[in-house]
Amino acid sequence: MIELKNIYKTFNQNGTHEFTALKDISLKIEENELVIIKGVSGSGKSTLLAIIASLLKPTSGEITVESKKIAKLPDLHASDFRASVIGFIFQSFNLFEHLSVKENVSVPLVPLKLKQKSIDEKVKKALLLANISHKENSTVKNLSGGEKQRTAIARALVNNPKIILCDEPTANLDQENSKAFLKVVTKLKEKGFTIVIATHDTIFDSYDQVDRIINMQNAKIV
Amino acid sequence: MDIFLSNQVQIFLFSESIIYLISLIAFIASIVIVKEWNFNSTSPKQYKLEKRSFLIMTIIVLTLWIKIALLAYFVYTIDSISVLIPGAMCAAGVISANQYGNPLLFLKIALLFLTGIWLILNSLDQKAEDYPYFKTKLWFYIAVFLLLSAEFYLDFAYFSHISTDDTVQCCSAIFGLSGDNHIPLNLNVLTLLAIFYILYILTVLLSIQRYPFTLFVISLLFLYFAYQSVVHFFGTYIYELPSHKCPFCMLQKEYGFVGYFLWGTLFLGVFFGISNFILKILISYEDKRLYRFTIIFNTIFVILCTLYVLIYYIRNGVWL
Amino acid sequence: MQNSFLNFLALLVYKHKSKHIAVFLISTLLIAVLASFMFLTSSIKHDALIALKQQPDFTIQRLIGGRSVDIPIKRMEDYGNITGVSYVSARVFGRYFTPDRKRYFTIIGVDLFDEQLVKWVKEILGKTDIKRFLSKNNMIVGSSVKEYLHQNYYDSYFNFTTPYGKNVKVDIFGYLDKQSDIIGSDFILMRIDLAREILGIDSDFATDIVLNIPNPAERENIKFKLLSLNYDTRIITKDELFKEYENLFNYKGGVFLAGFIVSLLTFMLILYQRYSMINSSDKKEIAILRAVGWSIKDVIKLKLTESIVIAVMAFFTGIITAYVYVFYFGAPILKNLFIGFGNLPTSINFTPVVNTGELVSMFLIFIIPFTASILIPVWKIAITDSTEALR
Repeated sequence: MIELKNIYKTFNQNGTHEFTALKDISLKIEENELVIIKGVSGSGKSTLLAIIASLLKPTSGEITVESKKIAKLPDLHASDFRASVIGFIFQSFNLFEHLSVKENVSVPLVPLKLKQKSIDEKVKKALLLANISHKENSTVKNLSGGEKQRTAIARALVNNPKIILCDEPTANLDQENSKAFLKVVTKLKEKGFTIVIATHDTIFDSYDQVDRIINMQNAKIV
Repeated sequence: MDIFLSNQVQIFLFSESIIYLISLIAFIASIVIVKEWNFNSTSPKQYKLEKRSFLIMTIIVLTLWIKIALLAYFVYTIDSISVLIPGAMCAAGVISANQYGNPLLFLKIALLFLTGIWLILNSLDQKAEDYPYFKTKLWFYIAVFLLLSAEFYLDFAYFSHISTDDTVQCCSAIFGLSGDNHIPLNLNVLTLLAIFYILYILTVLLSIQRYPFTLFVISLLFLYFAYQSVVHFFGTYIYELPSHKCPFCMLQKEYGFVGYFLWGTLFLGVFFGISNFILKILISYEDKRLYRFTIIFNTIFVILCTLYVLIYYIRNGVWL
Repeated sequence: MQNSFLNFLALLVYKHKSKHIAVFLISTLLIAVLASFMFLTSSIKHDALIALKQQPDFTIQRLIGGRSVDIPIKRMEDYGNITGVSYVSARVFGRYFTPDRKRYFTIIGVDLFDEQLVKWVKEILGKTDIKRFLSKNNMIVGSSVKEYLHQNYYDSYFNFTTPYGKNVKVDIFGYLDKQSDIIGSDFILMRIDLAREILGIDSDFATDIVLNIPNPAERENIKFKLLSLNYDTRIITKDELFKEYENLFNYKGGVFLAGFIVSLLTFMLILYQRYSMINSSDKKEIAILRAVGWSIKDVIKLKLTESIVIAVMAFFTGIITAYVYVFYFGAPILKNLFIGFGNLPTSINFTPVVNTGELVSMFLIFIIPFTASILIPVWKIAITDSTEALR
């Protein structure tokens, strides 16, 4: 469950390029909801996701995720939170090109000091869920766009998060892979994940699993 | 002045200088942060400070580990220059070559203790979600840095005042019957041992029952009497020579470097013993794990000492 | 520190190898130079001290006008009568210049009654009968002498000329062993009266008189007594020699180390610079790690370990390189700094002497500045703001 109250985010405060990406954002997302955040580039969608993931700290306002106030969490706790509660899928995948699929998916688990066996189990489960087990030992740079996407999904799922955040997930995919992505999202919704997708891809307009659409324009919700 | 040509002394002083330099950086950063720190603020400046605190933390953690190594290296250095100083046959003679030696050694050990406390403070501070002890730990570090500066000065003062011409006493002269370090209070060996074991048992009992202040006092007493006991009694069993009374020789290869282990466990035991009280007055915190470690390390130390005596008796059928 | 961390670390190190390779090579070079120097010094010191141990406790020379002159043998009796003196002996030795006066050998006279010297010679000759050596005009030479003689076509004997112009033919009987050769490569050992003849020393005189005093506590006293017996003497003690040797090695070592530290400081600056250059792919890497839940502390740990692994690898490579250079190849070029090539050039094989204290010293002097230099760059990388790089 995600709740934002009067969130502001200004970059380069008091500097020459001061820029307010989010103005007075208040919203509430319930558990297992699939929410689309629509808006053109620059409207603040990515910033909003980053704030929810505690990758950015708000300039002012309150944000509670899974009953935790995360606005002022120190780094150690913020990263703990991010590792266990959030799974992030990026537009450009953001994978380690020279590592294998398996290695990429295990990256979030490395600092958690788990036993090797436990790590292998979680990785296996995630690969299965994302439908990319057959490519576990392939180097990422040799994969197709759709396969890379699935690797990114597996990585987001590996530590069993509650919330999946996607930033323009279909921007680098063709029609077919975009449709496949939708199928994965459906599966995830069934499994109980809360999903927030920031996108301006029209493919989501006719997607029936969507619970709510939030429109953003000029750093505000409209 | 010739001393400065010894390789080990150069390496030691160079390393200490580097460590002092990075500690200075941490010090300056701490001063800046402690002035402007406001956890509840969401200004970019505050976040910058939070990021900077990581630098300080990393520096201090590294400093601790390196300083532990440098303490051991310090002893090695002193031992190796003993050939250049007439009369000295091991580190004991060199340490007393001038008036800076003993205070320097004492300060080094105290600094290790204090840095250890800082680390505990730091890990507690990080566990909470609002950095409750942040300012305390920075002020603590600032105080520690002043001592670090004193140590740095003493390092150079000590080495530059070592004369290669004047004779010094060797350990048997310093610690033996003819020297000025008799057993304190003119006790005989048996009474000393009795006090030693009684103090040990007290530290165990106090740790179980958790009386931080009393444990603090008893731990310090235990440190003092343990040191005397090792020098005047247990050490002789390590050297298997009743007249060889020296706290340093047991750090050498011939004795299997057992000195490091012996002094190490003693320092750890006493460190944990006093830590609870210090933490209590600094941040009103008590931790049962610290008590547990006190018991563990003190026990290992006492067993090690006693074993040397027993094994000697078993092997030879007589006491020294 | 589980498998996956080490695995990830290894992959990272490999991936960044272009960044690390320069650092690795320079580090290895630095360590190799330092280690070579230290190995050489230890080896020579080791052998020299062994030879030095065989020296007598006291060496008494006669000085007139500040110049060392021959000392009358009859003083031996007085010296021998002092309590605490366990052994007295007179030595005959001196410099013999080659005809062109550019170089010299050191001639040492061997007296059958001189236990210590005889012991040494016996060690060199092995089973060969020392009496046979001493019966005729024979000599044992060091390797530099051998080389010189060979170059001048004297392979089995040499014609010495005494200060009075007389020619004396001496046959080559044998050569010094490796250990003695370190300090004695220009030595020529021969029968004592033959040495007297060639050096022009009268039979009632010797070059110096040596004493052994087993009890160290008495040495100071005896020195005093000796001086009061004959004011024209200078007494050199073995302890002083030890200290002087120690100081000499320390001096050479100290000067070198000081210079080395300067290069180390430069190296630190280079390191700092190099690792401070954060390019965009580095930023992206860190951003990804932070986004998936790595804390700043985890990133610092990773990056620190990455660099230190390089440092440790460089250290071992440097040490091994130095070892092979000094002990297998005999340290060409570098050794000339030590063996004074003022006298006679030599080719020597060094005894491998490695002690842990030295290795630890070298490790400390390298790793501490190294870690200090990369501290700030690593921290800077770890705190870079992640979101920009992830778009």
